[in-house]
Amino acid sequence: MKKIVLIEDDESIRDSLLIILKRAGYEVSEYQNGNSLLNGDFERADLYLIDKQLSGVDGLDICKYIKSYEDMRDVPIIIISASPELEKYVKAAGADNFIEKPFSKKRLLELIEKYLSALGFFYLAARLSVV
Amino acid sequence: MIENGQQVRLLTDSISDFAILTADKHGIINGWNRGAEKVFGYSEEEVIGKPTRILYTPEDLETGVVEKEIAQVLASGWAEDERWHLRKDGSRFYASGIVNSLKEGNEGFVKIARDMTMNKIIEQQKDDFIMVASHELRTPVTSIKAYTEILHDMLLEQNDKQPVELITKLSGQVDRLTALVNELLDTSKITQGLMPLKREQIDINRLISDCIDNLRTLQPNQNLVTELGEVPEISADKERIIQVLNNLLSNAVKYSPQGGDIIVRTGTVGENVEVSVRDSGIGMSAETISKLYQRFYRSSDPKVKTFPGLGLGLYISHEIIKAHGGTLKADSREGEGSVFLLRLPVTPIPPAK
Repeated sequence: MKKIVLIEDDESIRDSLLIILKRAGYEVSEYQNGNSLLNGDFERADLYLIDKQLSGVDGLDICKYIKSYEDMRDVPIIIISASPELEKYVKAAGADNFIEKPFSKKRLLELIEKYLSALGFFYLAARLSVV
Repeated sequence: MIENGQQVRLLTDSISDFAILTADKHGIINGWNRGAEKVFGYSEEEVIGKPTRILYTPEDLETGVVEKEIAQVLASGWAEDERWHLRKDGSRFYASGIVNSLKEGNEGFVKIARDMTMNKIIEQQKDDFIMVASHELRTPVTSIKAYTEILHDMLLEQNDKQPVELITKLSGQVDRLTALVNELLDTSKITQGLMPLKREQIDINRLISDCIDNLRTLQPNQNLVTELGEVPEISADKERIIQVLNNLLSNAVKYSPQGGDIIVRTGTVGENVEVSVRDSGIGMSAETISKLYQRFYRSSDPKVKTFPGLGLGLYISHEIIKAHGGTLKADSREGEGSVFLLRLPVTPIPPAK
């Protein structure tokens, strides 16, 4: 079972996404913020889904932190965005993709699937060959 | 002659809400009315003989705005004056006015400006409100949508018909709410200049066919006719173009009678691909057409059947097409339906300012 770490401070979004992801067959660990992760309690996952606007440390900083580990560079990170100008910052922070609120369940799952399905390997290979 | 001069002086001084000042071709102030005293805060004695540069912000001085303005006025006889100016006490006000050349006597110009700071602030507050409101709405809308979708799936699994029907209705309303929030967000992006295009090569006929197929399932009674010509691929933002096509098509459906014809044509005009969407509605007056692309415009014509909405659809479509370097125009005669003409350049050109 693929594991997703979800970091989201809005309770209703976190709760609803948790249900959606679990029902789609993923194992999910949920966090309100990135504090424990940044304090060294580093939970490995197959994909990180992180809200940008978190209270405390910003989602993009968490993303940069995760991607600063050599062995974490290939683990996809999707940012849940709130602002329109986000795309360039998301890329600058090393995130693999972003999804803008409001989104549908279908779009979210398709995006995750893109990275976690067998096909995900090809996306990854394509990305690495560019880098 | 002197009497005439006094009369002019009386006249200009009686206009106390408008700053009227004259200057020579080097921008040295040689006339200053009471309105200018009120608006800029300098007395006549303080400014006569001084350069108009003292009235401009450091940013404008640095970018050569003053010189450009004078050069334009002397060359073309006219310039617009829409900018922040400096008062004597260093505070700023937003001026709206014009600058005209003075042809008689020494070459120079007259500047007539009004303090429009309040309007500018209100306009800014309106934009800020739309931005904050739409940003704050998107989080609850996202979770409401998510919960609705989860419930829908759960009830479908249980095969419980009545709740499924209800939740389908609820879903429809959530989608409507989402669409409204998206319209507000798009508007906010446009006013902030933050709507980047993700260009790719697109086949517009293909997009139209997909949109029409989708619409047929939703509106089986409408007579949707396509006459798609051979057109080259264009470089455009696929999702944004689909948004525009859906907006034009849904408008055509809204304003056409049940079963009325809606005709979509494509073709090439010069270096552009042209799409036309013709409805069989009651048409629009020239006045309506002139206001179609304004934000929040809703028709007030009692003959026009109105639909709930924010009045942002065509504004957004128009801005999307402008960002692509294309044009969106409407043509209509009352009683004869309307046609929307969309032109997109085959090779991308920078948008017109």
